[in-house]
Amino acid sequence: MAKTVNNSNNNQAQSLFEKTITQVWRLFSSAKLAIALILIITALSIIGIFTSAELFSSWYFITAGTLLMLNILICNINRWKGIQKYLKGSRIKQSEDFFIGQDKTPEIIDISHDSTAVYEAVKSIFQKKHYRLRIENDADNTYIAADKNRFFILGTYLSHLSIILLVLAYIIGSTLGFHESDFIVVEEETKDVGYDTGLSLNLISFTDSYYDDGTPSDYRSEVILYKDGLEVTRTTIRVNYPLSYEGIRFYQSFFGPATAIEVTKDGATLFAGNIALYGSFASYGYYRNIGFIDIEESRLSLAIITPSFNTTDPMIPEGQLAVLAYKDGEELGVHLLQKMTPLEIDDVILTYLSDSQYSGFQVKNDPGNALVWIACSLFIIGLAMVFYFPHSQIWLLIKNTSPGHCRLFVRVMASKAFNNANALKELISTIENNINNDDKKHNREAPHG
Amino acid sequence: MDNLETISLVLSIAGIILAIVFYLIAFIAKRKQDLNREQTALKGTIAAKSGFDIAANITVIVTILLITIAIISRAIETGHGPFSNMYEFALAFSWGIILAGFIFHLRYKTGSVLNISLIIALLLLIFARVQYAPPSSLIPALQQSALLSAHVASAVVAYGTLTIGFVAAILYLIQNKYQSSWLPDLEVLDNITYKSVIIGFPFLTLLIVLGALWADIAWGRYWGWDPKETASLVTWLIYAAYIHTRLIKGWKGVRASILLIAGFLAIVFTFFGNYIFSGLHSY
Ligand code: HEM
Repeated sequence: MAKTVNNSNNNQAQSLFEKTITQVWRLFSSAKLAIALILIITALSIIGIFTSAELFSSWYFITAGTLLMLNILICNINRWKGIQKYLKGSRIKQSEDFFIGQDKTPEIIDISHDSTAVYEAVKSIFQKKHYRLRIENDADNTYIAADKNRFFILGTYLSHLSIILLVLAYIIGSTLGFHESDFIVVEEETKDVGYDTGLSLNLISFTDSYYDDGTPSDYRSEVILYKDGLEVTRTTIRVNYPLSYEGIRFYQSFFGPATAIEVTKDGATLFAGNIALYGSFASYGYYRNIGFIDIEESRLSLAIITPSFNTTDPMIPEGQLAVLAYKDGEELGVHLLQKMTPLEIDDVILTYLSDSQYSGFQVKNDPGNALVWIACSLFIIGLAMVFYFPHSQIWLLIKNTSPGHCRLFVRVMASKAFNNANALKELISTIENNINNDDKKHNREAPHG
Repeated sequence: MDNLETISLVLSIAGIILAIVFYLIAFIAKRKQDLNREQTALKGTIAAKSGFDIAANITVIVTILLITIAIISRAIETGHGPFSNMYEFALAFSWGIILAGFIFHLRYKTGSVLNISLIIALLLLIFARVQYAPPSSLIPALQQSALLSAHVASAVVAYGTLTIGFVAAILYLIQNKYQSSWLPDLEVLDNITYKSVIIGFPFLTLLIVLGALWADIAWGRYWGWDPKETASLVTWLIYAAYIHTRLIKGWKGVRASILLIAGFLAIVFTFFGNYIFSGLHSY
């Protein structure tokens, strides 16, 4: 095998290449592969539930997903020819063999009526059911092709392509948009969003409230949004009620304590402002919040630590803060800081002014957002089209056999989901009933005429 | 309100039991009649509808009304739809099952499918009673009444109808093996399974879509591979597999039934999942 490839000239190489392409194409247009991939992704997802969500960003999960997308794409391109045929409507004139053909549901009945009576009965039945009828005649035969809901088969494109749109929306969102999950703003502070948005957010205040039983009832941030320094809106951001401006959304996400600190050196202010104590760490069962400031002028790094928030803290008294100082990365020791009481650390003076809160937001710009909702709607519309307006085709041949007698050939090709044999039986009995009813009517009318 | 809710719930449990008994009596009476007729000249005629049949139907309607009352009085009390805990959701879910089962019964005249569905609803109502939780206030993440109500309403329709499909699938497997004249025809059962999916699957899709929309608004992300989210995706994929095998390969009968049973197990797993894994969902 390898030898043939090595010795092959360009021509053969190309045909091998084409052969491979054809084979790959055939593989990806197969429904078997679709079912296999769906089941593989199902199995992987089940494993993911019990192990970890990391599975869903693993190469094998992404590969299976990508293969499924390719499968959907090629499958649907491949089906276009067949669907076009359905849309146009297939041949009206079918041979007798067609009615006896491979399908297991042919029916042939002899009727002691002339073909016009049968034709009229058939016509009225199909018109009542809103079928489209196409009719051709020749000497002894009337050919009828009836079909219904042919345009609704396009729903299958809506539901499949919408899955690809969904993936596209995800890719657009994650490449063109941004998602900042830790956008922390301290009360009375204004912070730039960045990402060339020109936006900045000011937190007026943050409030967390609780029910009597201690469960949280509301988290609300009163904010002002600025664009290029100009106020655009002043509003409240709550869980479930994000602030949305020009496609950029601010979500209430988390919150925590902040503290106002002033750092001076020789009477000059090096730092004054609120510090978010957004970190939390556990040590010997005590959970404490922690925040950091760097004083570059003095090559100092300060870690500000709150008293434990789960139980009474044996080390840091309530209402005080601990400061862990480093100079050039070297630890200088822990100090306790009392409110409004200046404390000297190295060459600076630290003052703990007051307590406040910070609010944590997610900031998100998702250009794929609209596409997500378009895709989801298309999927459901497509489903409804295919499920509730099933395409159905029926062919009939009415053949004059002798005066007053004819033979009726019927073939039903409804969706595979239904039982064609039953549909056929039902149709035949309706036709027979209809003819018999006409008979009775005629018999009743006869004496008058 | 609290009293009305409890009374309605207890009465509805009694109602279901009564309905099951009525249907069984009607069923046995009809079988006897059928057998008699086969031995006499009346062969081939249809038995008259027995009084028990009508009584059973009325009992089911009353039961549905009772659960409706329980759900509404609960909603008045809490100020939101049945979406804040397992008790409320079990109530809504059993309502969906009984209603779907009754509608399928009216359409296909299959008492056995309805009866087994009633037993499932009964178990759920008992579960609801055991899980009773006094009305509690909503945590901030659940304070989105419109979206959450639509999310749960889709779940009720989807899970309700798909439960009927599951029951029909189980009966299909039994009937396929034993050919019992006590059970509906295979043809009818197969038909019920497919109909349950073409109603249930779009609502299952809507359920997931609404869930993603809500997650995007509440947490800033559509999808986070939270176990409950993933479990609902698994459910959706199993039904997608069912639809493909049926529409493309013409799978019916045994293999299709097995897929439907797997789909239903996925639903049960999703529903009770929060007892197994901890996630963001409170139900
Ligand atoms: C997760 C991925 C998929 C989903 C959710 C999905 C969804 C659906 C749904 C809902 C239907 C029934 C209604 C309709 O036709 O729209 C369907 C039918 C169908 N699907 Fe898919 N599909 C997926 C993947 C695929 C793939 C990869 C193929 C390619 C082989 C495929 C081929 C078909 C075909 C041929 C039908 C039958 C259409 C008919 O006869 O009416 N599907 N699919």
